[in-house]
Amino acid sequence: MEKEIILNIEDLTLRFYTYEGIVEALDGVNLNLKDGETLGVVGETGCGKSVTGLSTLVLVPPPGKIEGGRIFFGTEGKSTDLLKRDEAFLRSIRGKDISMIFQDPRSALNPVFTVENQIAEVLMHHRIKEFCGNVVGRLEKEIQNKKTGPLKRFIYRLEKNIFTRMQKNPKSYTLRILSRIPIINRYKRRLKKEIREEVVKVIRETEISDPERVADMYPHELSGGMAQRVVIAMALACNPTILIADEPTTNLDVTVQAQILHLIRRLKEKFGSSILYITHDMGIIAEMCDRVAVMYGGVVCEIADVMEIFKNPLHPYTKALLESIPRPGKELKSISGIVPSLINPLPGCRFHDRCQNTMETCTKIKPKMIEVKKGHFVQCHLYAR
Amino acid sequence: MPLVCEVSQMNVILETENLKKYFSITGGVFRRKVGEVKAVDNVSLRILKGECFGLVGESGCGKTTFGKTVIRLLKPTAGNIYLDIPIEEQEEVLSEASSKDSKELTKLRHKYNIATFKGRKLKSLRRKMQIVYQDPTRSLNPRMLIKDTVSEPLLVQKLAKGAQRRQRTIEMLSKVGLTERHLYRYPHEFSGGQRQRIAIARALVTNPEFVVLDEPTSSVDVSVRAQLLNLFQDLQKQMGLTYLFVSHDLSVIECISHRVGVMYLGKVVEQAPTAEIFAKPLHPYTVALFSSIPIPDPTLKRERVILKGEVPSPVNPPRGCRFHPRCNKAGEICSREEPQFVDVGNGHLIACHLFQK
Repeated sequence: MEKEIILNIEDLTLRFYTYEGIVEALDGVNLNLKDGETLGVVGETGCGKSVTGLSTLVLVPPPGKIEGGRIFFGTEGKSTDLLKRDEAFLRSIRGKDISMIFQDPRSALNPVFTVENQIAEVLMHHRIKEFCGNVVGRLEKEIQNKKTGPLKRFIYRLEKNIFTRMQKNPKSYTLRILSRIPIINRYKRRLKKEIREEVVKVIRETEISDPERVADMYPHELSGGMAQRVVIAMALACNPTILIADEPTTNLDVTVQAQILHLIRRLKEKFGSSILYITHDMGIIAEMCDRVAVMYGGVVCEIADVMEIFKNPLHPYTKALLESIPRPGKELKSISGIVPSLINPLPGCRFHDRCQNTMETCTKIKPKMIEVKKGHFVQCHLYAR
Repeated sequence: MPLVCEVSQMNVILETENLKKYFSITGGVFRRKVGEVKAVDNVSLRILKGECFGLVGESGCGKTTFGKTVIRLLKPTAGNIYLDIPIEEQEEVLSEASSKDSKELTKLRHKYNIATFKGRKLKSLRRKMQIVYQDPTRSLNPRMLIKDTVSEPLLVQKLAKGAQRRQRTIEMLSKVGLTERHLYRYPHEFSGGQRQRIAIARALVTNPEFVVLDEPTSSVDVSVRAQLLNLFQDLQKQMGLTYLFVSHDLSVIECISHRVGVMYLGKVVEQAPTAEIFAKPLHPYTVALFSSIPIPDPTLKRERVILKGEVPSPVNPPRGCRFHPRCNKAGEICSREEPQFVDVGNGHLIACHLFQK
């Protein structure tokens, strides 16, 4: 069954304008993510994999600039080019439809807020209307309850009024004034209570024992694995369609890594999200992903199914990368040379100086993406017809 | 494993006996001791000449502390470390029962026990044992030229001067794959892999016998990691080195080590030849640890043992076997008694009550 494409990156070009020169971080990246699949992006440091993840959310940090290309989000017919939309639209998408798990959980969490505060921020931003609706429903029940006295009933009616207003427009002027008047602003407690319940539910989802206690903790009180779980909880708080996981287990121990991988896989099944999994570890790719994109020097050089990549790698870089994984009993082959700097990158194919099958055309012409087999794309002159 | 056969069984280069390293936690106005972090607790290991001993474990299990204590960068709290005893005297020193009377034996042991060395004696010891750190960006002085960094040990140990010193530096650099033209550069001009090569050159320039490699490949990329691993193996053959390879990356350990020790919370729980331990891990912790490495082969789907919870704090380690709160096979005895090492054949030692006779 052909799955629908929900994210399509076309010819993405990105440059960083630094003092040392222009870093051509991405040079025509083509990727697509299908509904419900896990796409792994592998490559060495500085090959542009993290930046690809960030530009999907249009979150590239300042010296970087997206120079060209299109990022289509959404199913066929209903898709929009994220690069052309304004900030307000993007903000409504970030965290809700596309969310991200960052590499280092400690720097992804704000040290001065509790876990509850930070997860609540996402929920407040995207799902406030839903919560207001819940609160209104509760108040209505209280009002209809015959045991409530007349004064309380009056207060509840007022509160209900406020929340119906908030449901319509959470940022209205009257509400902003009300929320600053002492005693009257106590109506906020109801919302807070409602959100806390949801926060605890979200944290419980990530298999943290005692979520009530964790919700009140500050990030420094959490261990690395716990912090990463909280970040995952935050990313999944709004059931995103696409989850970008940027090396979520790099700083963790293997046993904790196994726990986190297991968690991500389980949550993916539960929520049916698609995952863009960025990593440098071939082992994780083999375990987690359905398809793999291999990146080198700002270019995607090969895309194929996992089985295909491991059994039948075509691009010389993919081959070399697979051979440089330590395996007992086999001689370890390494790629000569170093990862090149992307300031003034090589003309033609960017891998040609380290490649074993370099031809003359490689040094001059940039290879095009060729579909060698169904679903197996490679960007190399060796396979050009 | 080819090298294990070459190593004669008795030629021990380093032996630790009940090595302990506690870090005290102080508190209050008078900096009184309020607790201890038991980073390394009663570790007895034997490292043979010419082998590469891999030490694996999660972060915080004390493997780096063990590496540093063994080469006396840290002073052990208790225990003995014997280094480089001549073959004739090895049996005398290391075996419990001896023909000589106790006074003489104590004297002999004291002579080789580097745990008690001080001052000049300790300094001269540094020539024999060196360390390569995890992150070369931080272990190299950014203000020193490569030639100064690499040749500094020669100066400190008074091994070579002037032209000879320069000559030896160049020789060493060429051994690690760098050339003479790199001499007058600063660390920031190099890539991560090259910086690590410089750190290796600095460690090996005094011709040491024993080198501690403290996660030397964890800060570099996959392709460079393979280059470094090959370099380590070549250097070991060329210079007859003995390595203590500390790492949490099991695939690297499997590739380079001859014997492996698994550490958990300050204790070694299992040690065995590499092939043996990877084929047949026995300790429940080792089983869980090994099954949690992702294997780069999508056709392989296997049963995973996923550990519950996290590593307990080494300030108050659990009583009895330290792994018992997370162990799925823990029995009643595990929380009471600490297991001792049992030999299950093929040099496979294991500290677990399941295998106690």
